[in-house]
Amino acid sequence: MAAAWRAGVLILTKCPRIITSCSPEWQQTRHQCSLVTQQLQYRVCLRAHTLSQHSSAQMLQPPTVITTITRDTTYFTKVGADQLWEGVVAVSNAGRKRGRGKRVGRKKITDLNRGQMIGTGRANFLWPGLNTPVLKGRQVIQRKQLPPNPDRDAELVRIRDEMSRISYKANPPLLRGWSGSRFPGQSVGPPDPVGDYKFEGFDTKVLEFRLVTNMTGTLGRKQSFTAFVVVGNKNGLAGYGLGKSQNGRAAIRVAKNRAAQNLMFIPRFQNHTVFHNMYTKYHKTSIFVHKKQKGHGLVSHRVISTICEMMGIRDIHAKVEGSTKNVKAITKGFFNALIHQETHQDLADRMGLHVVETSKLRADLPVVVASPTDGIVRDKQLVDEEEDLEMDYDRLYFGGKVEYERPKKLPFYHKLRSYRYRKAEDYMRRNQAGCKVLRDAGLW
Amino acid sequence: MSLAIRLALHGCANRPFYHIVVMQTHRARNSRAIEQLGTFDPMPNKHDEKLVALNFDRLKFWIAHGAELTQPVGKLLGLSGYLPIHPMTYITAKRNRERAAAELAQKETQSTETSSDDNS
Amino acid sequence: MAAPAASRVFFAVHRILTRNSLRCSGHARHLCSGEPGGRSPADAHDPGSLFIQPEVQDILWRVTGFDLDKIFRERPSKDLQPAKYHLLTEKQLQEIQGEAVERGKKRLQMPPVMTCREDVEHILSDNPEIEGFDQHPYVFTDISYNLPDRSRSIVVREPNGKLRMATHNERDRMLQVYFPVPGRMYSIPEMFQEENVERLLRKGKYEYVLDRACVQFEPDDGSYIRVTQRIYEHIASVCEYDQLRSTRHFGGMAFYFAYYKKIDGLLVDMIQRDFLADAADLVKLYHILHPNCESAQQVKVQQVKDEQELIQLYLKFDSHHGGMVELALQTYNESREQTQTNLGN
Repeated sequence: MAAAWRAGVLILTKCPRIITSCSPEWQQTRHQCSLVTQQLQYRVCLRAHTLSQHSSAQMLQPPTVITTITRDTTYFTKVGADQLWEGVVAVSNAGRKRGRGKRVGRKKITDLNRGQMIGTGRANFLWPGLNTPVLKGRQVIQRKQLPPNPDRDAELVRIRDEMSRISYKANPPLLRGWSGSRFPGQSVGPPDPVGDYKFEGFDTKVLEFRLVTNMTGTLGRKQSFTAFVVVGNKNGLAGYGLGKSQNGRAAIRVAKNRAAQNLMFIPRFQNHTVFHNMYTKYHKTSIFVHKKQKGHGLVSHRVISTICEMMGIRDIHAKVEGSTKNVKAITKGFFNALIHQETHQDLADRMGLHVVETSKLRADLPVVVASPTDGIVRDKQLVDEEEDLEMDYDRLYFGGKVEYERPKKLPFYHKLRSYRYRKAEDYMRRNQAGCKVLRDAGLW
Repeated sequence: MSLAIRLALHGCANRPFYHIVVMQTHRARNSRAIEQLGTFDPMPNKHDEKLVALNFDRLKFWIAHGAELTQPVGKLLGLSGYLPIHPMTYITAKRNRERAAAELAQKETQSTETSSDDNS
Repeated sequence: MAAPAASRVFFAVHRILTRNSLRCSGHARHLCSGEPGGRSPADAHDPGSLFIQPEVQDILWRVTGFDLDKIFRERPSKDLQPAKYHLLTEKQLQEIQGEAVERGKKRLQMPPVMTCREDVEHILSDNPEIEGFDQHPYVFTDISYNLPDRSRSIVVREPNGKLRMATHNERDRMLQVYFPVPGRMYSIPEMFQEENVERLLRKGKYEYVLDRACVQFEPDDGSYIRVTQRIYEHIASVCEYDQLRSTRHFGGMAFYFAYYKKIDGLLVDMIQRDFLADAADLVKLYHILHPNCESAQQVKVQQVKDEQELIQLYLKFDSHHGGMVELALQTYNESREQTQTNLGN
């Protein structure tokens, strides 16, 4: 009997709750056992009841009160996972002032919920309504215990180990940005749908992704991510947008959606290039844009190349002068220039002259691209007779500016006599390789 | 100063090629000529021909100006029909014919000897 | 590049034919490749002299057409350059267009049709005394300045002592060595072998082969005549005459068909495309080349009012496959009547 008592006491003390063991005759004085749960009370009562039936002699002994201080609720039960992790991972204010917790080796939060599903635990149960449907056809599923999963613990450990390992995503070469695994130059998918419109055919690329700091009075250094992206459907529609957030991905998302709100139509010549050469300046960034033929490709600053890809321009040459690092200035200047293009028809109407294209591919056949709509063609060609300006289409929109041409760097030995002799010999043998090819091919 | 129309050996190792040039006799063989009048390729081409190019117009001019012809040039011009055939061509041809005949005779005697050996 | 070569040849041929030099022997007064289809030309004149006649040239020029867009179509080029744009007044535009027309006309200059050349052995000197002077023949080329290719003397001294004029093939090779024509190969490309020509014809590359043949061969070369005639026959069999319109080869093709009395297919094509004037011109060409034929005599006798009458005369007297042509004429007339009635409505 004493053993049963002790057993009863032992059972109850294992639970982390404050309990008092009380002798049977104290059953009525519930106030002393006020913290005992109904279930526990039930147990105590049961034990008491069974015991009372067995020995009345022992009930005359003085009651033994064993108090074990156990806690019902702890810090671990009161507070959520986020705050718990803060205690482990975070750095104190004083520490932050000294710049602690910013380096590579800082601890990271492990999400312990990963690998666990609600309703399953060490005991593998099927709870209808929780992890199985209640009705299977017309049949009601009963609560069922499945055989335990022996690998569950090992699996959880494995998942948590992998999470703590630092892995850098390896982008395949065609999806990489301008350098490494950094965001600038990378595609981040189409903008989020707005209502019914799904932005089909649109893509965004990040142009700039920075972590900026603001010193506040209260919190000290406040960091946030800024993302500057360009959105386009590769067929004449494009726009740029800036987004800021505490979280990098959120910043990109905000920027993307903002850019989608600011789409502009970019007129293109034959869907592959601009209409004419142009010059633009925004702040300290000047850009000279040149119209190029099919097959030329995008020969320009990487920012401009990316923007052109999004717009659907395939052949262009652009030279950025002045500030080449200011991504926003380059973008804004470039967009500004492209929106204010003059189509061939507009030019013909304005000037009152025929716009004629001659191409080496067609042996300089003159093709009239645009004529004045009213049919009235001007007689004299000179614009300003005093200055005797000629209609040079290549420099028409430069506004008098001239692109800087870097002088070709000659090799350091270009003045040596031996080099001059070598050049003469090379000239003498200029077609030898070509003749050899013909001979080898049996065509000579 | 005497002028000569002669062959200047150009080309490279194991591949001779002659320029027919007019130049002063004291100058080096391959030095800059007054004028190039043609070429002569001593190696037969894939059609088994030896090619000679001659600018007869200018050749006539330089011969009229007193340029001497060297033996090889004289031979070439004789073969081309522009000038009478050079005497050395006759002599070389005769010698070649005799040598060829002698070789042929030797071959025949050798073959008859071997056949007679076989027989015996 | 084909244009300069062709023009050089053209003028050289003209000079030769008027000066009577380097003519073939009297017996071989027909095109080398024999009589295709077993049909002999009615009047065996030298085709070269017929081709040169101004009336014939006029007809061939008219019949060729002049589509500037086709003449100056976009051709792939290695060095890419951006197009140039000009702002022009009406007068400047007309000037520049006139220049383009002139350049187009140059591109349409026809390679001449000539009798096939034959190798005649011409021995200049026989010297058996120098037999054996060398094992290889010597080929002497005259590289004097400013001599036309055809009058340049090229002689060969054989190892047996004979001095002879070079054969035509030898001449071509020597001229290519010392005076190379850009685009022409020293050895004849395999493309011109019969099987390879057939393969290209199956692919439909008529203009390409004709252009290359024009550059590679002289117009009186047997290979050139063989290749061009084979291409014309193939075009006739598949009725793809339009591919050569507005190119320099159409005139030669029209002349070939007229010379060998095979103009029916071409007439059908012309009528179907509403080129009735061209069809009448072709019949006129036929009459010039075969002045003794029945319809030619009839034309002299009768008063021919319009083009259709001329064509009908030809069909009545001289045509062998006239059914198709009549059908085409019928369709043409019907469609004209219909359009007229539509316009009236």
